[in-house]
Amino acid sequence: MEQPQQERSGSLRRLVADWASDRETFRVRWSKAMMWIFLLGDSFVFGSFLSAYAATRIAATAPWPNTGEVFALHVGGAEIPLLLVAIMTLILLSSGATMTLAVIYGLRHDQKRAAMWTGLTALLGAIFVSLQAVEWTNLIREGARPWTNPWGAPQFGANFFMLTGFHGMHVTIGVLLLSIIALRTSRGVYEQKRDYLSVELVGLYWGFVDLVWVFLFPFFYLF
Amino acid sequence: MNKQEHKHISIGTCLKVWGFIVALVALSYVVFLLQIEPLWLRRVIFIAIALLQAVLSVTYFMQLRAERPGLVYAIVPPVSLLLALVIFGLSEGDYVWGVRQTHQWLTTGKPVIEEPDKNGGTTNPIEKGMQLAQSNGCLSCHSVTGEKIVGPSWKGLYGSPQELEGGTTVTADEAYLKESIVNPGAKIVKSFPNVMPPYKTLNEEQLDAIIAYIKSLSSGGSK
Ligand code: HEC
Repeated sequence: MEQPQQERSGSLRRLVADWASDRETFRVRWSKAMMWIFLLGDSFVFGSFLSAYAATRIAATAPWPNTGEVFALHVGGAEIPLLLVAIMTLILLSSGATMTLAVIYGLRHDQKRAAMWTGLTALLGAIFVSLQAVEWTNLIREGARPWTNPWGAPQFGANFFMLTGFHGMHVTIGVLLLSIIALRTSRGVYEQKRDYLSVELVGLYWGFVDLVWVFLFPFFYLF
Repeated sequence: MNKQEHKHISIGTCLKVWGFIVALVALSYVVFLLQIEPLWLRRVIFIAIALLQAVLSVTYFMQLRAERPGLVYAIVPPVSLLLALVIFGLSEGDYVWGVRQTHQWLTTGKPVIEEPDKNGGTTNPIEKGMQLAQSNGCLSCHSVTGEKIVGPSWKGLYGSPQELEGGTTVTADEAYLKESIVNPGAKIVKSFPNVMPPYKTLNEEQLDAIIAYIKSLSSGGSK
């Protein structure tokens, strides 16, 4: 390559090298590349939902419901706005960290710890979904429906159920996958193969589920 | 391969990122609780925190950092484009809102009651009471014009004497109104059937809003 390019920071040169090398580009195992590409596609699903949410919310002529009141939690006589959702957020984002620990221990071939942290991640995910079930039940009892609700713009319900429902479905699937992989790890399936790639893959998926919530929480609940 | 192993994050880094993300969640929740004004500033803070959290979880939890640039550049730019999709959604929704407002103005001569989304819901109790009365179906039995539908009209109700079944008379004050909503069977208005369902699910604040609305319908009581 020419001189000025050689002096550039390595990243651009390595990018060119990746694409020009006349062999596989991503230089990761095929299943990891496929997981990334799947997540890329999935991100467009959520991106479309968020975009639809933006469009319908700003087009609503009735006032948007006050999420602080709608999602308030009774604690002793007081109403604390959004408390349940804040707890859910902490749980889910923390489970991103526990999953990363599982991946790190997997890379170190530490069978016991990898299994333990994967299992713990599954548990946190399950708690998140259960709290979400509580939240949905409360809202439905109070009269929220996809087409109407007692607090204001009817578009609120459709967006709420679609966004959190789709995300909750991803979490549920994630909990299933995590449980299976925790079980297989503890049985030594990956230790025998000397390969913990499956833990890494489910880690990617879980990171994505986390990432979606990172945007849902502020845009839907706090905004 | 060896070089890649090096770039995976250490347990110490993972724990630090975890702590940082928890702090960010707490920060955004506090900003929400304090309802920091003006609204746009609050929203800018939420967006900044979300972007920071997203970058953290992609680089550290999903460990994109450890991947070759060929993969990084195949993933990051398309996902970032989703932001543009949301902005398209916003401008589309804004246009629709304008059309709706024009339509309402042309057909009724009135502008849309409230700009959407200014405060995330109305704070005016009278307005809120009107919405509640609509959404709970009160207005299918009670008119606000003096006309009798199924139940007595709310026009001029507040502060006026009510003749009850059994011959007694009470003044329609706040306590009477509240009782009539929560437990309508207790005092039946003379020559009306006892068909109103009890509304036990309304909370104090909602009751106050409805009562404020009923008050606003009589000349003496509006305040
Ligand atoms: C099925 C029809 C129906 C619905 C729906 C209904 N009401 Fe009534 N309401 C009545 C009837 C009939 C009476 C008179 C008999 C009685 O006092 O129970 C009444 C009485 C009242 C009174 C006392 C009025 C007076 O003149 O003293 C109040 C206040 C009242 N309703 C409020 C409400 C509110 C608020 C709602 C909605 C949350 C509501 N009602 C929904 C039928 C209805």
